[in-house]
Amino acid sequence: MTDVFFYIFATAALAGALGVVFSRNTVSGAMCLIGTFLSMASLFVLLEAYFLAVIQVLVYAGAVMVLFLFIIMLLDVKETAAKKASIYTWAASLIGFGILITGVFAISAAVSIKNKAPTMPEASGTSLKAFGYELFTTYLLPMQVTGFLLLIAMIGVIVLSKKVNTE
Amino acid sequence: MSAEIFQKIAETNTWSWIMPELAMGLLALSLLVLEVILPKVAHGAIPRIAILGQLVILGHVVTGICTGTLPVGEAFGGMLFFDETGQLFRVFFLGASIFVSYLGMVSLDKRTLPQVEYFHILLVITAALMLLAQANHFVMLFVALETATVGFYILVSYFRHTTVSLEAGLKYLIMGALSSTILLFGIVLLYGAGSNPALAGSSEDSLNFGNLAGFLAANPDDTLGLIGMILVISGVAFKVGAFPFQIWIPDVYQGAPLPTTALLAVSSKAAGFAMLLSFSKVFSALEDWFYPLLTALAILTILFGNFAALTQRNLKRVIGLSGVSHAGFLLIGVITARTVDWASIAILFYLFAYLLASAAVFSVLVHLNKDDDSDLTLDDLGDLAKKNGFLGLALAIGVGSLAGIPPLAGFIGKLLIFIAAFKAELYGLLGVAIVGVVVSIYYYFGILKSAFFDLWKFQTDEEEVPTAIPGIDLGFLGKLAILLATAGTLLLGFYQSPFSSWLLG
Amino acid sequence: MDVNPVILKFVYAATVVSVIMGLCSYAVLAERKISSWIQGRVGPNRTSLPLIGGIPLIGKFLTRLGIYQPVPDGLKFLFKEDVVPAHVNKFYFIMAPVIALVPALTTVVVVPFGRFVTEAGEVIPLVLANVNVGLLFLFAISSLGVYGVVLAGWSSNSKYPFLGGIRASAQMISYELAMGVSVLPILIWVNAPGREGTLNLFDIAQAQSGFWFAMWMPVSAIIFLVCLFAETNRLPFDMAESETELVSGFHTEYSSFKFGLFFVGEYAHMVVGSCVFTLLFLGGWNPMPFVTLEALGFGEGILGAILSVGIFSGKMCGMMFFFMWIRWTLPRFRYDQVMKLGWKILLPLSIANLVVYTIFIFYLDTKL
Repeated sequence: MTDVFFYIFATAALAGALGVVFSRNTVSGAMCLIGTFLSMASLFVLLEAYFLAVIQVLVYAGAVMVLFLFIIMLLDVKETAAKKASIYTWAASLIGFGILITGVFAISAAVSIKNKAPTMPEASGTSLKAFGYELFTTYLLPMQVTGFLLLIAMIGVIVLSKKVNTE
Repeated sequence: MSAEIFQKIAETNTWSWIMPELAMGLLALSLLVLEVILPKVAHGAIPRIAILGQLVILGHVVTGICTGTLPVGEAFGGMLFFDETGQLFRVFFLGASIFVSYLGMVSLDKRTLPQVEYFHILLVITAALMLLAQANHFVMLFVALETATVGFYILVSYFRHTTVSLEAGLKYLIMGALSSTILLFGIVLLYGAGSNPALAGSSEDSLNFGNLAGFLAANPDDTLGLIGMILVISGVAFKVGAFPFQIWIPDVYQGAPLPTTALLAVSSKAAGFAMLLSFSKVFSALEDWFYPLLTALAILTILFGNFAALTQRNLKRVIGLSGVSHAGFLLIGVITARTVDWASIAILFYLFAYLLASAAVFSVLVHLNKDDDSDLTLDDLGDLAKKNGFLGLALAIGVGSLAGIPPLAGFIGKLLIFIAAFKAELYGLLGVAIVGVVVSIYYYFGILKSAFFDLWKFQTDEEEVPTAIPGIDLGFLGKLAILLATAGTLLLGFYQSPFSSWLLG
Repeated sequence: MDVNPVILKFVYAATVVSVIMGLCSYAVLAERKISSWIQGRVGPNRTSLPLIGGIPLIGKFLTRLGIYQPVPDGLKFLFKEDVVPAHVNKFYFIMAPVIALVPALTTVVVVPFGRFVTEAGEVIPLVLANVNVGLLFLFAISSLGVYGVVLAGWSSNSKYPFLGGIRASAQMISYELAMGVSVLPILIWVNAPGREGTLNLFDIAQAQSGFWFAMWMPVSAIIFLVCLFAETNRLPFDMAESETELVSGFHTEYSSFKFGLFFVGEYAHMVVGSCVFTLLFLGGWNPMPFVTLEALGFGEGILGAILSVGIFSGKMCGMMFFFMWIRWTLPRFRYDQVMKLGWKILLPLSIANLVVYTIFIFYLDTKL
């Protein structure tokens, strides 16, 4: 049962990702991205990481992508015409695809993928309270640094968008 | 996990050990507060306060190193690991930040742009890089790296009224985000491999460098770990500007404001090597892949950087591409560290020499009184020696040190790395490096030639009356900064024994 | 007879959804009646159905009350001409109403509407899915509802709907932040050290056997309520529709059944919003502060369960009334006022509120 759902949502996530890359309409691209986020959240649910799943939907699908759509609509981006790919683009795509295929085969042949433990240990982040404890003890320093990250990101946005008078 | 375990972990959060980083963060915050509470006329003092504060912190770290009172060991539940290399990187990043603050002060004074935010972001970046150099856990590493990178995105596009700066910012944002994803994907694969309980050496906290190294040693033929390693190295190669990931360097260096270019050239690159040094310990079990990969990167990087710089006339592009070749030389250092145990000291020496030389060169460039520093070409250096002999001399020393002319610090840095490569019997690599050095002499001397010997001028029909060439006013701080950088370059060239003996002893 | 649990779930879900839909249609009637009452009119009192309307006395009386009105209102949505203008982006134009309604109905899954106490004293929540992260799930899914409005505005490919869509997305983001931060004090209290950690709406309601949260966290309650109005696009925050400026905003180009879906979606949001406010701040099914059903002797069995559902529904209906009361009392804000209120007043206020209550709860927990 879980396997079936996994394949359904994994396919949906991949299809959404491809849709983002291939759609000429930016709004369609954004909607495909939302689809991918929702499918990823479903995969998290299958892994019993409920908190992560909900946060994924709340933050990415519910807030970040609304902003994306907002910007896309304000800029009123038109559909882009198909560009003729140059020989370099083709060569680069071919090499990239080759690397991708190699990577997929190498990963699926990996020892650590083939060997499965009979029972997986319980992840410490599954219950909300454990997640909180973990965040405020083990990962306290990275979390504080993240605070600074958000601060400079915010200040940066203000600095870069504030009106300057350059006489 | 029970509450007691968490309590135990929390007890390892020794905040006093990261005093310098905390002080940097607080200084950054206080700058913002000062802008609010100080009257408008006193705002000019804020950059000076930033520099003064950093000098105090630098003094604290240096006295800590000299008296040996700085702590050594793990902290924050294994998030950070403190050792002497880390302390030296702290000094390095602080020094770079002080010089960039000075450059920013000079550069921003000419423009009507918000000032305080530049120093705020600069200080946060430096604090993040200081943590990055001491990170012992991939979560810490990634968070610190992202903090620095986000800061760089902003600083690169800081002159947002010029299109080149914005273009550089956009290019850096896209390429930087891509490299971060590659790095993160690699980390995820390593985490997935390292926490599989079915394999030997797995652990619950598999992103800790020690645990991960243990896992890789137990499963050296695991392709998941191998691909993770390759992706992580690729992500770091972007930061140092090594060959296939160097593509952003010329455009971003050219478009970014001059102080930001200096910061990218010095701090960002050094951060990459701080990471590579710690990764060489993590991936020591995969050395059959790790070192050949780095060797290929090093050869291509040296060749590309030097040959691409030959045809450039834009000063910032030349410096950027020469920085690529410096990254190649430093990569040789990382490779030799496999067999030669003092190679990491050679890398640090090289970085310090590079810092001082870059500081000298950039301090000269920032005084060239150009409105738009993105189209600073070799021609703008014309008559520099006549305009201000002191600046000319400083440029000569800085560029000479970058080129590796004896008896300057850059020469000793290159020499140490070459000796290490010789000892490690990497003759092929050594050959490529020497070719690189020879090629680099050409474009470095191109810079010096236009500063000293370009006397011929294109004569227009209406003969212009030769006017007195306007001098360049440096001010006290400017003289002091350039004097420090050049004196440091000379000193390290002649007298490096205390530095190395302290490290070796 | 054993029924397949999956089928049983479907039956439960269908029941709850149809109850919500029924509530929505009668909410429309209530809206019309309350508006007429506030404005000194009579409201709908003519519609009569064949057969039922003909019952002597009662039928007439119900006609006067307008009880049959929702039936023709609903049929009207179904049978009017469904116009799809030529200039729209068809795919998203048809998708938008669905996207608007689905999240509103999905959120109902985690809303408990009562409790059942067995003989053994075990408390069973009456809810479709009793998930641990219920409150966050509710926020997450309901935040998806804005896409319906945004896409409707964009796909209509005309000026006023577009402005409506843009306004909706900006407003949504502005108020979601303050809304999320305002409930944090409650979560801190419910999850304080020594208690079982949960974001479950049922547990939050059960935790209000003493003080209701509205009583000792009034600032949270007010911020949450204001944000609730903004999130449901109700007046005085109906910037996305705002018929005096934007014709009728994002659904200008919609007609018939598609318009009906938007309409129902708005009321479904309102119903769920009222339920959540009742659960978080008004004590859920506790009849009075410091008085639980158990204390009144209605703890166990079917009677206690029915009473709990009844009390909960009563409070919910009170909240619905409040929504309508506000709509017909307050004028609409200007758009810049909406933004100012969200970012400059509610957000700082909610953060200050969080800090104060964190310190207060810490003090309560350690010193008392």
